[in-house]
Amino acid sequence: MNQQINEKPRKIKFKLSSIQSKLTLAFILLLIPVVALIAIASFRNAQSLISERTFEQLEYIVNAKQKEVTKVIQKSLNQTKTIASQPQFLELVDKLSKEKETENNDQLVEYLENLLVLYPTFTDIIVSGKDGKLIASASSQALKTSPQPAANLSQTEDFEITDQAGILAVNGPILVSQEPTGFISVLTSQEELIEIVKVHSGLGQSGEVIIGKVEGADILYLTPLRHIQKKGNFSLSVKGNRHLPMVLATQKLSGVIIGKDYRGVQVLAGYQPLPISNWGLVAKIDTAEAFEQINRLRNELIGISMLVLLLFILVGFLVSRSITQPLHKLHLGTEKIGKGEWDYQLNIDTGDEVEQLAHEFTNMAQELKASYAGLEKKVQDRTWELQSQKETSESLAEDLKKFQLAVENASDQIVITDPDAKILYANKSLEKTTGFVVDEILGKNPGKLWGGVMKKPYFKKMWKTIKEEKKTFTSELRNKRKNGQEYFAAISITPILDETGNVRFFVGLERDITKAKEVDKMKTEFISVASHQLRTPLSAIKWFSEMLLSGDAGKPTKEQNEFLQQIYDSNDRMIDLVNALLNVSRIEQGRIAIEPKPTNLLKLVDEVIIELTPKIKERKLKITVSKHQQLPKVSIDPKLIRQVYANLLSNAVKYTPNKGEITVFVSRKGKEIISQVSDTGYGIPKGQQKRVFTRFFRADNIRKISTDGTGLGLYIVKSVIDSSGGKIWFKSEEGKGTTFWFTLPVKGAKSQKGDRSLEDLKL
Amino acid sequence: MDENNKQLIMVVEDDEPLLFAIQKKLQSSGFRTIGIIDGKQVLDYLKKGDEIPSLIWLDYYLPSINGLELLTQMKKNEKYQNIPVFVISNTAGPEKIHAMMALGVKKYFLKAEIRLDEMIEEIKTFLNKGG
Repeated sequence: MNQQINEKPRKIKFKLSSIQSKLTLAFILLLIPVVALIAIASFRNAQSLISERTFEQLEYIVNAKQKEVTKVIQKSLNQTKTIASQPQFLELVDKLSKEKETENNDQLVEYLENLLVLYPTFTDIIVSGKDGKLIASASSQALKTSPQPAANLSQTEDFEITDQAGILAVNGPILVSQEPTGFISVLTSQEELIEIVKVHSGLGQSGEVIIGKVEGADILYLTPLRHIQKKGNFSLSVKGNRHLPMVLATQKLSGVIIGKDYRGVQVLAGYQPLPISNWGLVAKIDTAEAFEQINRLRNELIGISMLVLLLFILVGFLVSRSITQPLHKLHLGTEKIGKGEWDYQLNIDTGDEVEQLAHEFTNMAQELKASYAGLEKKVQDRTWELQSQKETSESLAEDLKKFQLAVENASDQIVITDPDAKILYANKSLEKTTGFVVDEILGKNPGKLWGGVMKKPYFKKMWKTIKEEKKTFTSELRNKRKNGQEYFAAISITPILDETGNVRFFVGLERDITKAKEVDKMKTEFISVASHQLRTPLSAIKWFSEMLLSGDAGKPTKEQNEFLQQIYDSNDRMIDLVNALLNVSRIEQGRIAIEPKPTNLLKLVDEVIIELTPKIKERKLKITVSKHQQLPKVSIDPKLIRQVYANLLSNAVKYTPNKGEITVFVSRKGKEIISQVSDTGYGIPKGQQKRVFTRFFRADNIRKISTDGTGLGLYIVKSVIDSSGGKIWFKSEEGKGTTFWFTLPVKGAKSQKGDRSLEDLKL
Repeated sequence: MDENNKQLIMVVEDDEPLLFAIQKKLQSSGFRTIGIIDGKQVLDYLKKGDEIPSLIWLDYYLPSINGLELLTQMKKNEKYQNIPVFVISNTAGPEKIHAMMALGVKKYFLKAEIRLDEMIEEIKTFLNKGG
């Protein structure tokens, strides 16, 4: 699963709570006041700076202009003074004043005209007499233009500057020999003033220098106004609060002020009064223009602030995005990885801690992947394990079921008890056998239910075997069904031990063998009947043959004798066989009684040998009996042990060729009496020695020699020896001879109940 | 020896041929015999009191009456409780043999093993001893 993050991260939604907006908002909220503060502060700073500067500049200009004007005025004054002091002039004036007629003023007029040429700035020079009457003027216009200038003149005692309808005039006395003779009035053109005022450098586009005077309630502007095209002097009423600076100037105030000019436009103006009364000089500049810079600055600042703000917002936005985007990628990545896409690439290369984080995260994802894989494998393994365990336990359960079914339905009764013989489980056969139902016997003791028929010692023995010796107890016993009916049972009780060797359960198997017992009984009866039935005719044949042979019915011929003898002998063999069969069957049925009596074994041997003597003599066999030390009497059943000796010795006699040797040796070895019977007979072939003690066995080599023999003798002998607590064994070599040994315990044989004894062997 | 000097042997045997053989042998050995096939008849005969036999040759397994029973019965009567009895049988358990001995049976023989002349010997020896 290798998914690259080719998909763009989903549009980062604007959530008030997202880092994005938080950062951005923080930025904004932080920056707005800061920027605003800075902007405002700098603006105000600049503003005041510029204002100051502008004011200063205005002041400077106004001052400068005022000085210039003053200078001009002063110059006019001085010039007038000069004129008025010129001797020629004085002479002329004096002359004229003495004359009553003023028609002869040409000279003066000429003089005055010359003066005008000399002083181009003067527009007129007016001389008036002491009485104030006009004497001469340079320009004829004076008479027309200036109404009653003489009136003013008459009051002049010194040189002064006045304005005459807005025209600058210098008035002064003409003193001839210190006697006021007349008055002079020089009118200047406004040219100079206009020249001065015209220069409005430093006043920008809107600024101008203006000179004005107060006339009543009006302001008379003496210089052309920049903004109103009107020639000449004109007055504008002082409307509202217009003309403020000029007003102030004409009030002989000086300073800088922001006020409205004749247009009503806000201006920054420096105002100075001029030496001429009611005259004022204003250097003004529209505040709009003056503060244009400031305004521009303000606007610029605002603009910049806005820009900066926007920039910061953008930057903030971008920065926060640059942070949140990787975070968002990380988030996406964690989602994907959380869902199991271990190899999902985060693709964060911001070079910062987020990238580090992403790195670590990827590492972690890989670790998770590995451990997941490991885990998966483990889970797989475990699942497989569990699966196979499950299968195993299922098959075990199956098997268990099988066993359960097997046990439950077994034909034998199976009972499981705890170590105290309380029943934990019983199978169905319980009902058949004992008549009890499983449910009613759980937790109870079998001995109290269907047991208890046998005597105490029996049960003592049973308990000892299973509880103390912890061995299986097998036995036949009588039990009692629920309905009281007694029956024969074959039981086998096995203790089941735990790891420490303590009894955990007892498992008891029981089988109703009543039938088997009956069968046994029948067999027994059959045998007894059979033996009786068989033996009767056998006896008949024996006795009649005997009588015939004895001559009781007449002496038999030789041949008759021969035949009779054959009959007699064959019959005897049959009797032997029947006897042997009976013995075997009795032994197998455990019916042979053992009645131990202290017996002298050698005596038994002698008795047997006596019976065998005819045969021994006939075969010319040598027989030796020897004993070892003082042999005690042994408590054994003489009938049975006699049979043993009889069998072994008769075999020795039968299976040893003529002139052979038989030895009998009885000795004591510790706790045992060992009897040994050896012969130099035909021996038992090696390959058949294993079967010597089996029923009906007759070795091949002696079968050929003699057909007489049941093959049961040694089987019976072994049974007897075994029951007597002894052992029997032999050594034999074909053609050389055989030796049989058997032991009997010195302490004797255990008595055993039986309803029969062995049939004697015919020797 | 005249007939009456010969001792009387009662032979109790349910098998006819055997009864015949035994009686024949006894007779040829100098005894008088009386043969009884049915065990019950023994008591009848004894009761009749004709002649007390010198010895009873008893086959143990009789169909009508069991040897022990018969013996027990015999023992009850003093007249014949002392008659010596030789039991001849095909088979008998040691217990039964002991019981028989206790009831006066003098000897026990296995039918199929003993020869008639041996039996005669035994009887003669026993009776000569004074029974």
